Formats: sequence, structure tokens, C-alpha cells
Amino acid sequence: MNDKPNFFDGRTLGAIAIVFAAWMGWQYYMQKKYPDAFKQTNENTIVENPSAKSDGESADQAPSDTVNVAATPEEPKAVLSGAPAQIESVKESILAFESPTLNFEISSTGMGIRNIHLKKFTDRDGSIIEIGASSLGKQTFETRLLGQTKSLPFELTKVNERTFIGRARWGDLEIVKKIEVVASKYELKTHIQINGTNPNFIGLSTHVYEEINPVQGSSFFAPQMERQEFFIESDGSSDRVHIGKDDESKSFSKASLVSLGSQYFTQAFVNQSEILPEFKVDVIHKTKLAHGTLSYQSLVGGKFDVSYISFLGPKDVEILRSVDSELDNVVDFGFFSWIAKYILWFLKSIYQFVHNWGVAIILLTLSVRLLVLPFNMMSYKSMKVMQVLQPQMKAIREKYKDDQQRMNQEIMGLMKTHKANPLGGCLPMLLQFPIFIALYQVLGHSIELYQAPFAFWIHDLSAKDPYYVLPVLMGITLFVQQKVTPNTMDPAQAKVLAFMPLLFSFFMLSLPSGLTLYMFVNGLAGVAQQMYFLKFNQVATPSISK
Amino acid sequence: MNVLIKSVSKPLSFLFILVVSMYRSFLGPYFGGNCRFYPSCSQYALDVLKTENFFKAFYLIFKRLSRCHPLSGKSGFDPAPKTCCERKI
Repeated sequence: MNDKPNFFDGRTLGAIAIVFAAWMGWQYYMQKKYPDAFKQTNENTIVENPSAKSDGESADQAPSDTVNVAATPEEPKAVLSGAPAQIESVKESILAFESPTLNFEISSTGMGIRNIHLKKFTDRDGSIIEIGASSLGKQTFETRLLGQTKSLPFELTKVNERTFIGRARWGDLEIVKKIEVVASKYELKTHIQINGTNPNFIGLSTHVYEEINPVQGSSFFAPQMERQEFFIESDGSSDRVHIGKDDESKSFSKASLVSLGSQYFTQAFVNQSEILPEFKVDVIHKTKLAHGTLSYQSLVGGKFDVSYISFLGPKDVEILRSVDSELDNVVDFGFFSWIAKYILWFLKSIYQFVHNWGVAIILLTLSVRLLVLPFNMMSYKSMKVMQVLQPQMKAIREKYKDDQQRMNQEIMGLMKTHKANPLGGCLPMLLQFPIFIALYQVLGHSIELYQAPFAFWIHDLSAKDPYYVLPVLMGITLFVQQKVTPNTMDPAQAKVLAFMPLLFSFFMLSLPSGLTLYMFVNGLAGVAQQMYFLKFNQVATPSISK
Repeated sequence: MNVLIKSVSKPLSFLFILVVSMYRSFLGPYFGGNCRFYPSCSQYALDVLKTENFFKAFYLIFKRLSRCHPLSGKSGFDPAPKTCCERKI
């Protein structure tokens, strides 16, 4: 269609390949040459955090005398101002919580919880989902005095089936932590109150832990879908800290909502106090711990009274929203999340009728295609007309080479007489992209699809296709679509494009089968549409061409 | 000021040319072909990016895209300002 040399000629392609190869080579070389550069950062972290090995804990900046006072509450029932003693000697007591959805144990250590099981969900191997870091000896949601590395020893009482109260003493200070469990919403309503005074008291911190998944590598061809991340809403902005291969340490002040979780499950805090807490993020690979610290500082003269909601459960948009209207923000639908939410709603509506997520995906795909069908049809028609007019336009340009205005007029006239003014446009087409990207995000991040079976060999739409049937079928449809689409490209471009189905298939191999199902159905619909157009066009062409 | 525009313009233009070319090669065949104008928006973008400084080009592309929808009432031959007549066919 155009005479300008195309950007993607052979030489440019070669240059891009060389740059790409050089970059890969450089990365490889750097890692071989300076392996201790990475090691060193790890060692530094350890030096900074002498307690890391035993605690998996960030450095304790408290002055030593405070630590001594901290060691005072040796036993929960001990004297108010006893002699310093070792905190390790405290005997841990445990209360169990059981419900149809959620099981866990409350430990007297910081009144944290561990052995958390989400009974409605199983992992890929069929065992019940466990969150937190119990295997590393960590109680999530444990509470400490601000500036100390040891958790407060609480004396636990079970008020009723779902309400637990813990009392801890520190000098004349009594710390009362009350947890009320709403198992159906995976919600722990927490309230912490301070009775009495202690001049050394500066506040409390509550901690959240998650074991870092061993596999965090991802590449262009094998994107890692099961990544872990922190999400922080603080001071009017929201941030995500992805847990990658590097250690992290970041602080956020005035945090209102924070979470630590994986693709489908998360732990979260929603602040409900007037005191806005600070949230500190620590990722320490040496200890395999992702660790969040929610710190409430005691206000001068004010009464220390803190409440927050802890959440530990699936990232199901409806459950999250029922806990807090903002909590569904922890689900990462990417840049176009507002579109993604509507798409998810639509997908769920379809599911209400068909009760199969695979079928719902197929219907969603076809709906989107149907929506853009009129535009495709119009543009196809006008494209055909333009193709037919091409020789005439060439002739006009030759003829009025030196008279630009005349050439414009003639070409416009030609287009007008042949009604080659398409009703579509590039803007509607560009607006389609956000929808596609949002759809991709929805299919990749929705717990609704987690272990949702479709049919035949696909038992989990969120996992890759076990026999790679869908990716291969998708590649075939793309290939067919290329063959049936009229080609207006120059040869170099066409050559690049010939590899696309292969590349796409390769790229899709490890992606969730829900996504590949979508791509496959979309491609199939595209081929059908194109075939129809071609048939339709054979009838229409004679009336267009002169 | 002029020097600044010039030094920033080149790499930005290159980046945009790369993106548009990628679109034309990889996505255009599946999504494209909807344009109301000739040359198409993406070709127009490449043309202005090559002939104008980046900022003017960006403005022109924006203007062109904002006209390229069913309700604009405009369509047809709309070449990039500096390319229309040097074009050999």
C-alpha cells in the first residue's frame, strides 16, 4: 500500500536481533563475572539484621535498656515489675479455631495465628491451601511492643466460639487484644486497648508473614503468574511491591490498607483507627520470609486504642468487598482495572446461567467479537474498495505529481464517488485494546477460575493446558487467519508475520488454559468472520470495480 | 531551547517509530484496517515522525486519531504535511 521503505526491512530486523542477543549476552556475562555482587547484598542484609537468622526479623533499633525492660514480662501472670528474665522461657499456649471455611491456631506468642488452612481451597497437588509462614515458625498477625523483636506473651481466653481475648502485661501496662472471627468472610476483627501507663510505651506493631515461593523466575516465554506481592494504600496513593529475586525494605506512612499475598490468596490489614499506622515491607531471601510490619505509634496524651480488620483468605472480589469497600483493590487487574471489574461482573453473570467457567469464557469471547463485528464489517468493505481503487489512485498521483492540491482533490473525488469513506475508524479500534488487556488480566487473576474445570482434559482453567492442545490449536487458527486475510504487506513484514503463530503458541504454552481458551475461540471466530467476508465479497466486488 | 527539543526529539521519535512499526507488523493484521483515511493512521504516524520533530508529530498524530472515528464526519486522503508530494508511485 505504501511505497516508503518499511521500518521492518531485513537490515532493521537483523539489527534488532543483534541488539537483543547482545543484551542477553551482557546479562549473562555480568552474572558470571560478578556473582559475588549479588551475594554481597545478601550478606549486607544479614549484617544489618543480626537477628535475621533466628527471627527473620528486621533490625531492632531500640536502645538496649528498653530491651531489658521488654524482657520483663516473662510470664503473663508474673509480677508487674519483676526482674529481667529470658522471654524464651515463656510457655506457649494455643487455642484452636475451627469452622467450615477456615481453621487456625491462636498462639499466646503475640496472639498471632498459625497453621492457617483455607478448607474450601486446595492447591495443585490436592492438599488444602495453607497461608502464612507456619513452617518457618512464624505466627502471622502477632503483636509486639514497638521497637522490640520479641512478641508479647499473651494470656489467652476463649470468650465464645469465635471471640478470643489476650492479655499481656508490661510493667504497669496491660495490653488487651481482642479478636473476633467472621469465618465466612475470612475476617478477623481486631481491637487492641491499653490499660494503665508506662513511660517507655511508644506503641505497638502487628506483623504479617508469608513464606517466599521458591520459583520466582519469569521470562518472556514463561511469565510467572503465581507471583507474590505486597499491596499498600497509604496517604492517598497505592503501591505494589513485587517479591522478586532481590531483597526489599521499604516503609509507607499513613497506611490505610495493606496486604501480602500470592496470585489467589492474601493476608491483609484494613485500618479502622484514628491513628494511621506505618507499614514496613521486608523481603529477606536468606530467611525465606516476606514480612510486613504495621506500626501504631502512641499519640502524646491520647489514649491508645487501636482497631483493624485482618483478612486471610481468597482474593475473591465479592468476599473482599463485603469485608471492606476498598479491599478488592488488592486484586491486581492492572492498568485498566476499572474495565476489568466490569468484565469480571459480566463473566460472573454468564456463569449464573451456564455454571461452567469455560463456557462462560467462550460466551464472553463471542460477545466481545459480536460487539466489534459491525466495525470489522465496515472496515473490511472499505478496505476492499480501497484495494480496488489502488491502481486508479496510482494513476492520479502520476498525473498530478506537480500539483498537490489537484492531486488531493482528485483522490478525494475518486474516494467519494466510490463511497470509500469507511464508517469505522482507528479510534474505536484503539479503544478495543484496553478491553483485551483487561480481559487478559481478569482471566489471569480471578480466583473464580482457580481450579474451575471446563470439559474433556481441562480440569483447571487457571493452570496451563496439561497436553498443550489449546495453545497448538490457537497457533493453527492464527495461521489459518493469516492465510485467509488479504495481505497488503511488503515481503519482509510478511516474513515476520509468518512466525507469529509459532511465537504465540510458544508464548501461550505455560499460560492458564482459560486464557488460551479465550485466544483460541477468538481466533476461531476471526477465521469464521473472515471466511464469511470473503464469500460475501465475491458477490459484491463486481458492483464496486469499474 | 531549540537544541533541547532537537536532542530529545530524535530518541523519542525513534521509540515511537519502533512502537508503531511493531503494531503494524504484529497487531495491525489482526486489529487494523479500520482507518477512515488514506494513508492510514499508522502510516501517517510513521510519516510525520520521520519528517517533523517529535512534538509536532505527536500533536499531528493526536489530531489525526481524534478525527478517525465514526462520528467525525471526515475521511479520505489526508497525507502527512511534508510527504504528500515527494511520494513516488
